[in-house]
Amino acid sequence: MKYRLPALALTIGIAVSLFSSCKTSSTSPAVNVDTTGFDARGSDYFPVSATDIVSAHFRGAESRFDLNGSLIELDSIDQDRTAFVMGSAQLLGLPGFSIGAYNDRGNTTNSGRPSAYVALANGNVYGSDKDASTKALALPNALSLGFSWNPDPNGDPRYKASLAHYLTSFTNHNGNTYQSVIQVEGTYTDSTYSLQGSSAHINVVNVGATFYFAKGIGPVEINLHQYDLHGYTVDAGGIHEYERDIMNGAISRNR
Amino acid sequence: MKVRASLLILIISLAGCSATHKPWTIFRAWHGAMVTLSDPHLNESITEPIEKFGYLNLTLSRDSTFEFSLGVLKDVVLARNVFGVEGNVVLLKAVYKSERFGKLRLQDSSLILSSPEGVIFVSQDSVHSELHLRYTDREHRKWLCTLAAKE
Repeated sequence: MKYRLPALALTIGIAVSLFSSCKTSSTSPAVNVDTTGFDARGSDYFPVSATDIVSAHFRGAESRFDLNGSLIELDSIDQDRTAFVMGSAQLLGLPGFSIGAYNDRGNTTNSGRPSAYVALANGNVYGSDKDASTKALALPNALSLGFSWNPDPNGDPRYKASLAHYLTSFTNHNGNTYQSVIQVEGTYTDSTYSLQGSSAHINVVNVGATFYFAKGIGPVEINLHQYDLHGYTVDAGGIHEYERDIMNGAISRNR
Repeated sequence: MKVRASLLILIISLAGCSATHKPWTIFRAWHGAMVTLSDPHLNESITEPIEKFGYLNLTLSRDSTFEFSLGVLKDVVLARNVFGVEGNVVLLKAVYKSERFGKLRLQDSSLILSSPEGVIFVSQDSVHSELHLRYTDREHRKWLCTLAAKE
């Protein structure tokens, strides 16, 4: 049986790389916010050390629909996952850490090689996927309410992030409460049309997620509140290979 | 009168038969009893009662639709080394639930249940009133499940 959701759902420790595929919705800054206890350094909300092990609980569901809009598949998970710092590493010249995660059987994912990288430099937090060929700006060193940035290494406008709220206290889905939490909204939207001979392939994707980072602790919750993907091929014979995937869920830090 | 009484008894008997002896049909609800998971490359397999870790249900309807659901409600932990992994590790992680819906079709002697996750082949064993369900998962492991009719 295919375990699609675990494969899609990244662990908290590699959330930075997930972050790089999100874009922000514009959120109006709140008025008269007490920012005591908060600061502008992104790295204060994503501390990493060589001995870190982070466990998180994943709750989520994925639905698939056919061209008629009928539900044809529904998968769901309710599982713990664990990520850990494998060791010191360089991310495109920046000192950082390699991140690993455990699969269902307790083995390290990606055949024992890092699944992601994190680097902290000048108060910024950068992340990358397993290839470490680009670095995404996960949290900048200029945090302020309403501040938006583009996490994509190339400034791709499909990606955007913004600091939506300062939260004095935040309780995640596991019931754990954290102090001095920032709420970051991220979105990713894309629409592609590619011609392949006499047929065309169309993809439309909309992703929206809310990230919560606690000062001195790191990511404490990620809520994937929108993931909507349409894909199909069209030619003289009509529409083929249609798929629509909708996912939602949350990743909540266990401690 | 004797003829009428005999006819009445015959009708009642036939009615009784039809009420208590349902004809064999695959169009009904089924539940998984046993599952055998095998790795053809390693030539290894394990067999477990499905209720030990969750459930597997299948409903086949006369309008050619099907509903398939699998739930892993409890970690399936290997007690011995199999599939190249050491014992006491999780083979299937809980909680995981999967449901598929769609149209069935007949191919040779099997029913074909297609979904984006892959194809499930269903064959019937009318002698034992069972269904046999086969499919291959993402990790290229073969699943063979025996299903019994729900009451």
